[in-house]
Amino acid sequence: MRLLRYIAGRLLLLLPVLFGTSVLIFLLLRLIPGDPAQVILGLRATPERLAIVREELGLDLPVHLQYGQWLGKLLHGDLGKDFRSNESVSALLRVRLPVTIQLTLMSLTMAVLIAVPLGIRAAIRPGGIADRLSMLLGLFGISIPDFWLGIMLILLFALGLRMFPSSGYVRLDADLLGNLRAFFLPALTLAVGLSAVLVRITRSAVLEVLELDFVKFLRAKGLREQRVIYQHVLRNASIPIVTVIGLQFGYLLGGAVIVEEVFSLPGVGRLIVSYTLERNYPVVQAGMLVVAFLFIMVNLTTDVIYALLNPKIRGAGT
Amino acid sequence: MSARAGRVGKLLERLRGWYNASRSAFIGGTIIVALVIMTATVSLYSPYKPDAMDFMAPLSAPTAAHLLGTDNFGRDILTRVLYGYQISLAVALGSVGFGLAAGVTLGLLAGYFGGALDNLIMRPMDVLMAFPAIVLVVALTGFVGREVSVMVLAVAVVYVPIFARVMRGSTLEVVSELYVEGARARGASHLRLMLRHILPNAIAPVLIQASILMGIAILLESALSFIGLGTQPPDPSLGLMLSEGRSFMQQAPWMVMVPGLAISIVVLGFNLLGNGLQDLLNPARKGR
Repeated sequence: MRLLRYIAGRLLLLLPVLFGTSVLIFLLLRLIPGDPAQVILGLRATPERLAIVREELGLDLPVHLQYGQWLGKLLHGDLGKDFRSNESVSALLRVRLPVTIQLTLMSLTMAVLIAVPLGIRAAIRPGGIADRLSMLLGLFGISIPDFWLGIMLILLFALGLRMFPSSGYVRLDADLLGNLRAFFLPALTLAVGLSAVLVRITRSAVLEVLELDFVKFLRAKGLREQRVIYQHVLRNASIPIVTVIGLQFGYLLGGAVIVEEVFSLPGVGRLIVSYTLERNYPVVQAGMLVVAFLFIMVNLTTDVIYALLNPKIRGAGT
Repeated sequence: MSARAGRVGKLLERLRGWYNASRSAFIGGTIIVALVIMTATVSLYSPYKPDAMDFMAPLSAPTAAHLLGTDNFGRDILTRVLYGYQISLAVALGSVGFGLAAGVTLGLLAGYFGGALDNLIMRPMDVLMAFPAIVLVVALTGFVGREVSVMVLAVAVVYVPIFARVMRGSTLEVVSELYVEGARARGASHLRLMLRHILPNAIAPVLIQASILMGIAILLESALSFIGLGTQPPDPSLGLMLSEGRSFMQQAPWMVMVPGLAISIVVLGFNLLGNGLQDLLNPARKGR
């Protein structure tokens, strides 16, 4: 019951943040120089034509009315239309979003599979090989730019060893294996940076739990070391790990913008970049809104999982 | 002679002392100081101009004349990397400077006064933090312009909430200390309390963050230039060099290897420095 109330409280808090986010995105793209009508019609457009297009787009209204219109449509699921092609933005996003989601989920999985076991081993034997590896990963993983890592992986595994395609996208429902092969290198590129952060947090969280008395007690009781670690220590160390995974999801979404570009994957990140270059407000607005919304929802989910893992939080947050 | 030897000895001793205090901070600091000196003086010693083309040697592999090879226009890559660092460092320094100044002010006010002002300052910060940094920076530079000054401001906008949050947290820790209470009892003004008593004692975590964010700013600048929203050709920027090199990566892999390595080295330097400072400030957490 308290858990439900906690979640309800968090959902309520969501409203002002979402509202603030939508205002920020709207103002950001609207108050900066540049006239979208001019962009659409080109530099040689006549003033009359410009006025007509501005009216069509609702750009002749005061800013707060424009925002109201946009928000009203938004609440009905209408994200507006592409300036140039007149295509609906929702249709565009329906194609692009699955690519970004698959990319981020795959790299999240890879990062967890790399970092958590390595971090645990590093904590069990400080100074050992796993510990050194985790230190190197923790340092280099956050220092190497992901777009460069991506290019190096292409150079080695795609152009050199020909194990994976260097770019391009294969739909999941068309060819599962081809799809996984196309996503492998981009997901790995993104995973390295995340696992750098994750391995450090795992190591320090496990180290902290290992020092607690109950671990000594379990060992003294004669419980097998494997069970001590994986059943008891890991459960207690999981709170900071889960939190960091949630916090780092934003990093993944941001990284996706660049990595999609390197591997020519048609995701939301690449959409934002290319439509920013041509100042296509409605598409960029919608893309940013979707990314921010995803990010906020992941943070919410993280908080809920956190509350499930740690009963002490539930009362405090609301 | 012996006086000089004595001075050199003392210098070495001091360096050794720093090295022993924190190896990580020492190595990181050395990398950064060396790069800054090399970059600032590049025009004095480099035989090439960053945009000088050598049509006799396009796509040349590393040779004695071109230590790290040339690009498709025959421009010397080492020279361009060193000039590229100037832009990277300028963006990093500018954005961290702005972000630090604004973030520290806001965080200090929020933490010190608390209550309504705290909410007024920090809630908008939460909204700003709801965006992945790169998305915000892409939108800002894409729509406002691609000059260095815009990049600096865009990255600073991302940094303000981070600095504000760290500063607010450490202000809250310091504000109830006895020496602050004491100064308040002696009738110190709000301004004096904040600037003389709280700021100096609460700033350390912010400075550690600043070192790490310098590295991230360099990554952001190069990422922006890489996707075409940052530094524009023919200016030498590490990210731009990387993206230009992509078309030639099979014939001339050094065109993509060198700039990426150059970015990694400087970011590594800032990260090592930040980690080292963290250990120095908080020895109990060393190695965690």
